[in-house]
Amino acid sequence: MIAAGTVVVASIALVGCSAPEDTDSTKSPWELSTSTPEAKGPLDEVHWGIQPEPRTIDAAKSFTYTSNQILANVCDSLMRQNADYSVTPALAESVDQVDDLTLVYTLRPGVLFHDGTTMTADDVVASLSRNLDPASASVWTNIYSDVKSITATGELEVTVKFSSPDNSFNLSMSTAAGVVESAATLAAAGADYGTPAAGVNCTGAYALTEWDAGTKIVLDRFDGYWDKDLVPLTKRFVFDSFAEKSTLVSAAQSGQIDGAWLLPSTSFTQLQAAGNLYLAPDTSVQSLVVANLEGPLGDARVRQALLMAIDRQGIVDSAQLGAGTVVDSTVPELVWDSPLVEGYSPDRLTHYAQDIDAAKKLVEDAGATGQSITIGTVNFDPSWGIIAKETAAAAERIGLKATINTMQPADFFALFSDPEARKKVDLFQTRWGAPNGDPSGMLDVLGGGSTANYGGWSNSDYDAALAEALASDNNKERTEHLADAEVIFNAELPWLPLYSPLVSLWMEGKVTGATPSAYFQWYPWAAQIGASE
Amino acid sequence: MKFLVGRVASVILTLSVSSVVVFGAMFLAPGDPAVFMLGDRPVTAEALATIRESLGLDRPLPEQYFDWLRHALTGDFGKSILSSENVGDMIASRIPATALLVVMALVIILVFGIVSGAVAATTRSRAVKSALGVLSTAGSATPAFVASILMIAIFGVQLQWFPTFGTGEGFLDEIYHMVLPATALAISYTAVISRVTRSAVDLESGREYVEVARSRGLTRSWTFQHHILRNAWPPILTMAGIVFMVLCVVAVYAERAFQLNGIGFLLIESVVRKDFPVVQAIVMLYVAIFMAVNLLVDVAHVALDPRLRAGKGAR
Repeated sequence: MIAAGTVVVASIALVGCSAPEDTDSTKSPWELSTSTPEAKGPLDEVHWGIQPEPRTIDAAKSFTYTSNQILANVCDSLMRQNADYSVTPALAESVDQVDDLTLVYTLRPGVLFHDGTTMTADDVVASLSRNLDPASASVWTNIYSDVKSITATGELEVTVKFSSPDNSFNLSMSTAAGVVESAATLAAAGADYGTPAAGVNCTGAYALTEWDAGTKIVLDRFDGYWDKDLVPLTKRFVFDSFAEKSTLVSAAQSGQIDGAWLLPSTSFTQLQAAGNLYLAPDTSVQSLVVANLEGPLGDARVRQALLMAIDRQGIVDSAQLGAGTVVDSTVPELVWDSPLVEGYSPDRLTHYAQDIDAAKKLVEDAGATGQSITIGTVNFDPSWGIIAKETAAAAERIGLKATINTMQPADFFALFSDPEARKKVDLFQTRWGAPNGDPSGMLDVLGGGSTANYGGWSNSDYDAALAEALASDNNKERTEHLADAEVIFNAELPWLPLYSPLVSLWMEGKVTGATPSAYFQWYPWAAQIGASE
Repeated sequence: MKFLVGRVASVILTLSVSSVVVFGAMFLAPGDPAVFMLGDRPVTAEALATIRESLGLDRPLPEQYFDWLRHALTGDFGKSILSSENVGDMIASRIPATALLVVMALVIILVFGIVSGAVAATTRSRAVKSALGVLSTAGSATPAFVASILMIAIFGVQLQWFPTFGTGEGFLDEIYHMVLPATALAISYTAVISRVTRSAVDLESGREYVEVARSRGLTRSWTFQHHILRNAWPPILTMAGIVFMVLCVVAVYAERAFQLNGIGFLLIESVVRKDFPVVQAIVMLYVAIFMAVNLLVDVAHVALDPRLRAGKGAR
């Protein structure tokens, strides 16, 4: 169970920060927490704010903080990611590594789907196999890239065969990539599965009872839930949809919603007055993806120069009001606490402190002075605009020319799926975290065959280090290989890491229970929410 | 009869032209519904192609249009590309919120606008006159999205008198939820109606027939009620029709600020997401409503003014 009480951490340490202009930057103005008081009693109904409303909670397509925070309570995975990022069995009772290329999952018997049917190996095979089928447009293809076959080898036994070793696969089974859905419902719903029209059929602590698109998503406690340690304290959990964060914040301030995840840092102070705000380090990093390696950013020196020119602490201070930490890798230190990591030290990373003169020199050496870059952005929230403006200003400071292209959401999204669209920009922003809580989950995004390697950056040493890490059966060795890959990333900068934001959890006084942690995307956290008195 | 046939023909023509225009515009504008469906998710080009094919987006434009038209004529507006919901059901479920919002706003606008305009025109108190003048200037300079922020901050967050989001359940609760949004929407148009009323009343008050009536010893209030107001109606009515149509469109500001699941909200979201079937159906609905309102205003003019009825035959 989670511990009661709040641990206060006075500051967030910056990674090897040494820049003279950053004198005050090692102090975060916000207190961090590792837990919230444990719930003391049941509640009839809790209203939780979400923004924006997801379009689907189909696990194969669930890639947003809002779809995942709902899905985590409705659908269980084979494994479970806990608040401290440890991974424990869930729908799988046990997992056996038979050899380098074979994993055998033994399923928990007597697990019920929300429609009352019993889970079998066939449901697991049908659910997992969707990630291998291009027609389902799964977002988890990276996780499944080494999987050769998924077969039922018993009533309650599933065998996964790999084409090359992947010791991170089992960790990833704690995310939406390992969700088990009813095979019969998947077949019946077809392409509509997971939408407001068809819903889902899973085994989670809560069942989806109503989805009034644009208004609310209603979950009711599932009485047949298999995990008796996580029986929900709250009978009905209603997710109220908001199109704007500001509307959500005023609903919180006026007591119309009881809680929400990921609130804008600009309203932290107001929210502290209206209830309890809990903050914790996040597994994600806000980065600039280098989309075009043909242009001036094709030269690693120009990428390094640009990162040295950007006032990243200034971005954290103005865009996030200090709620974040400047990082030099896309893997925040928190993720290096993963259960499979042993003996990691961040000392090998170069810290790109702001140094305009040195940056200017690098651009001159690369012969890129006077060349232009385009920064793609979108008005998701004000911080994105601040990042784009500071990046453009930084480029100008070191002798480049910069244009900001503020895109419509549909055009911006095209950058993530359409290589043609990416030709229009040199850089674009993204917030990305390791879903499985392990450095491999983030580092493999930039591997050779990854669909998220948007700039098409390739480095054989990097790929080799990653492959060796995934094949290693010794955690210390594995960690060394992953750290090698991180060092290459840190020198080459195929993405420009800016800062790691904070996970925020707000609850009004009468409600308590969940833990401030990125686990809210995968763990049935709503089951822990109850009355504070 | 001829009038009616002409009117119906123009309705059909307008609807078909706008359906082609909207369809064309949606496809000419940059962006792709399949891409929006994927969001910021990394997928393979193969997966993208599969989705486009399953949505029928790889077919030629005219084929897609006539396919849509054939179904639309039978009352089937298809399914939303993004949520798979039936478009007819989606719109039907969102009409009540927008209808209540627009009607409540219109009632506020007409009651406060006409009364304050008439008072401003007829009062003998300079103080009242100038106070109303200042109010209407300030009001017309307060657009709905600014008013929404003020309403939420003052009456929602500070005083907590009214809810700041959602539509509520049950008739009275729905009205209660709609007080702030309808007021936010009404403020600037109340000022408009007030000004139109004031100038219409002023204009009529200065006419010869009023002087004649007064010189014959009729009281101020009798003249106002039976002569001035009656003649001042046409410009107010025309403006009220325009305000109603504008309200249908600007309702989206209040819907967005107060998270009301209405038609305007749905339209904006669908345009951004390139959810063509939804956009097309809502635009058709708006065109139909606007034409109906125009017709109603014209009919009301004729009913109010006997000269128009007589004039028709004479011309």
